[in-house]
Amino acid sequence: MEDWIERAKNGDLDAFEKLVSHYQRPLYNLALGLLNDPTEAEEATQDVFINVHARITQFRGESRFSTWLYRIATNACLDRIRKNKRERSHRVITMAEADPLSDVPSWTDHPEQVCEIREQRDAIRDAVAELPVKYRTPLLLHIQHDYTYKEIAEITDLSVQTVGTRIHRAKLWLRKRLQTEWKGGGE
Amino acid sequence: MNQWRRKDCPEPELLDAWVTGNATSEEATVIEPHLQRCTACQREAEEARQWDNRLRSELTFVDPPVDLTASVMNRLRSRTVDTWRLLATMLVGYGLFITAWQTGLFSRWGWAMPIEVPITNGMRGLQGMLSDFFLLIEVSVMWSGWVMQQSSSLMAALLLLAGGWLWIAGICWHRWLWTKE
Repeated sequence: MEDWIERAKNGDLDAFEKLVSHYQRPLYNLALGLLNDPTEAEEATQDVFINVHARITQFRGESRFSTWLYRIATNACLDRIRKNKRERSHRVITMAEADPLSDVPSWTDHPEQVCEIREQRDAIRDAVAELPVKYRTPLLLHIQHDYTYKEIAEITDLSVQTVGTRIHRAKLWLRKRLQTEWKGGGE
Repeated sequence: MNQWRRKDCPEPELLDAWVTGNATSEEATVIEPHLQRCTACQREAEEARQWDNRLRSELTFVDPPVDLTASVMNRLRSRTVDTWRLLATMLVGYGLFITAWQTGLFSRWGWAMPIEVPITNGMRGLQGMLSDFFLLIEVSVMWSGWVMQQSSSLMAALLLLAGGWLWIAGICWHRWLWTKE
């Protein structure tokens, strides 16, 4: 990885392509989680990589490359949200819409069970999408991208304590929201 | 949610941080002995762990569009070509401007050829001309970089035009500095 970064810093596009290929999946998912729109997430991910290419010589290795990359990506997505004012009018996407083949059931799965699992998964994604972005960002970085509070603090420019508080509140809200929904749905 | 808490129970968010391995070692030395004697906190920690695992198992990655890497690289390659094209155009433009100046095209407005300046002002004039030359190259390169950062071609064109005028203004200012004595 260090070799790719060094070569990319020296203008080697093949090395940069390897970095893009390596990080496209997590960055696209981060953008999708924050923007809730597959088309916009794709555009944002492309823009982030273009921006990273222009600024890669500024990366001095003081933090992890992925942390630096996530910082750029998070800021880019937050800028887009501010610009588009989509926070309030976002369209919640389902798992099937984001990736139609992501949860194809096996032949042995019972159809009713498959539906229930899929519904619960979509309910969780819908609930996460409803979270205000200041809670959603640290939650996604923690749960989906497996970053520690300290790393999230570095990415989002918040204190570790604030990150912990926001993640905790987001989890509590989700638990309350989904328990109510699932109980109401006859679970 | 907090009805179960006693006075010495850790804050729920601290318990949550401990469950996910994000508590500091000092915090852990407070939480762990407490958990051994507090069944309410044990239950809360277990619930927090289960909820965390549930969220992790449901919020998995989806596959990005198959052509995402190719799209990024196509944009980058076309951008690199554009950069060279623009730089070449700028260099040709500046070359033409210098040639026009040197051949006395601007003399009708009273602009002397720069070559006259070192002759009349000696070493000071020569140093001024050299420093101007490097300054102008540096500013041109920086400006070109800024122009290339623009996503709107109108904005890029305006910046390019503004850069050209600044360049001319810089030359006029330095010419005035050289010749004011």
